[in-house]
Amino acid sequence: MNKYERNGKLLTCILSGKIDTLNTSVLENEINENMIEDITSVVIDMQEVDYISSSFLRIVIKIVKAVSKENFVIKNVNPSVMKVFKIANLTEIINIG
Amino acid sequence: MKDYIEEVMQNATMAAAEYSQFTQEQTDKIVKSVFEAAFDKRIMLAKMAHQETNIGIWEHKVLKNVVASQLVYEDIKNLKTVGIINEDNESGIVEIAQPMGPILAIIPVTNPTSTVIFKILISLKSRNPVIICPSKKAINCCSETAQICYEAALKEGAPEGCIQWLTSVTREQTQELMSHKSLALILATGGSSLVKSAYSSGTPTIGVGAGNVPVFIEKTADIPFSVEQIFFSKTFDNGTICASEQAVVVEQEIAEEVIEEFKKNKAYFLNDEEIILLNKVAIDETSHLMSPDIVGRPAFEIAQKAGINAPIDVAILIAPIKSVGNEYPLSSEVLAPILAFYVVDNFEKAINMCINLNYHGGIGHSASIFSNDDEKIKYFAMHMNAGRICVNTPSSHGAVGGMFNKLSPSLTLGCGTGGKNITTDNVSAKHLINIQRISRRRPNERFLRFDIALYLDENMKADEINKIYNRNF
Repeated sequence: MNKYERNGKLLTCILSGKIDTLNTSVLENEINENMIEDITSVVIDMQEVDYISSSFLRIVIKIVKAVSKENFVIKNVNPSVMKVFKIANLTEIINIG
Repeated sequence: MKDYIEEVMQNATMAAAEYSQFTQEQTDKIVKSVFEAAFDKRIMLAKMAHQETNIGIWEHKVLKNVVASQLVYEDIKNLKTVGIINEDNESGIVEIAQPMGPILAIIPVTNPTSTVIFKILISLKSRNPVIICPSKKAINCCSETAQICYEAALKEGAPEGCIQWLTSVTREQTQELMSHKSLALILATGGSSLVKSAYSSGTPTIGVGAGNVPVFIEKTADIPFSVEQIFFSKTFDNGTICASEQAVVVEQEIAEEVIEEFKKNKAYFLNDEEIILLNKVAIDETSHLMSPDIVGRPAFEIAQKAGINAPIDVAILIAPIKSVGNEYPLSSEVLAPILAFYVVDNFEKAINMCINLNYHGGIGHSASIFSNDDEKIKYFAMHMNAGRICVNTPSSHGAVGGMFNKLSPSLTLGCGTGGKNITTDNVSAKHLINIQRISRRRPNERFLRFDIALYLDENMKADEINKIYNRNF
């Protein structure tokens, strides 16, 4: 179950489980609903995520384009997911902690 | 144009990232699904390839599709390509398979749909996304094949973008893709200039070399059987397989019998004037390479084009010539039902002729012998520079593997360093994984107990060091 917390201009998305192709579209809708106009910074917490799809990676690229690299952080990434970001060549355009 | 290539590469890179998380079981389901889909469309795709390229024979292209789907699948289905693939306690070495990343698959006009199926299967089996780059003359049939495979892969949960295909291919696009920093590997099957440009791109490449396959009918061979097998091979898809026989070499002693047997099988032996006529249509005078116009065309049509009065049911045109080199154009590779024919005095001269043929544009590819003398077979093999030496088999089918021998079925035949390739293997899924080795501590006792100060003593020579190194061992 994903959670979304809005704190002023900051949106924190706490994701969990397996983000595969099937549930990525649901996730995309959820994020879009929470990305209301005054949101300028986004944090994605991936503590509970152990698999990500290529379509999720595309969402991530969209978010970074929308809020810029400086205002976007992905945190609590486990090694399996970190490796996926590396293979996707995204660690240079996204702050991953 | 730049954006299009970037988009293709981004899709491939994302697919690679997702695919890297797949288990062996998930991967194998995808590969099975793709095999079944491609196999089920084998006839439609073969007809489409024939219609679009006007090369070969559609029924034979069906068989090529079968090899590329059924036989390749049988060969790779149990191969471990994910995670730990080998564990040896004694050596302390554990091997882990990792995918390579996006693969660019260059597809030749001669075997379009089969090569697409083959390269997709071996790429997906090794969890690599693949970008199909078809020959300009085979874009529709290659795209259709790729689409069928892609839908089947998605059905089993494969990552989006794991198969892509280029529908408008320009030289610049190909170059740009080849040298893209995110591309992991090029599987380059095609002409020598294309393979060379792949090698020059800076991206690791598994390429192929050109063939010029000699077939030696040694005097202990079963002559009717040998000729029948050569016919089967050389007429297959009108001679478009690069491992098909190019020149027959026979000893004088059995020449007449071999010639009679060829004639029985509807071969037409050309006279000297007809050879000159055929030279002109078969080989380009300047480049000394085969003319694309006759590739995969039937023998009668080629004869007509050359102005040769051959019978309408002629299966193969045979040119008896004396030597090898550019002054004898038909001693070069021609992917059409044309054979050069050499009669020589004895075994040694036959081997020398085969060496000359092998080194005339076909180094590292394949060679063929019909014989029942094991020593002579081995002698022949030792003197060829060929990745595959086919024995008592049709070389087209023999070199491709899986039908007449136990070679891995493949539509990418490595030609070793002689053919400017890194391997002589029949390329398959096992070549598309990076293998990591966990190496556990297994001390080399001799090295560790050795007084390494002795290495610093200039007076210590190799034999003395060896004695001490191996003492009591």
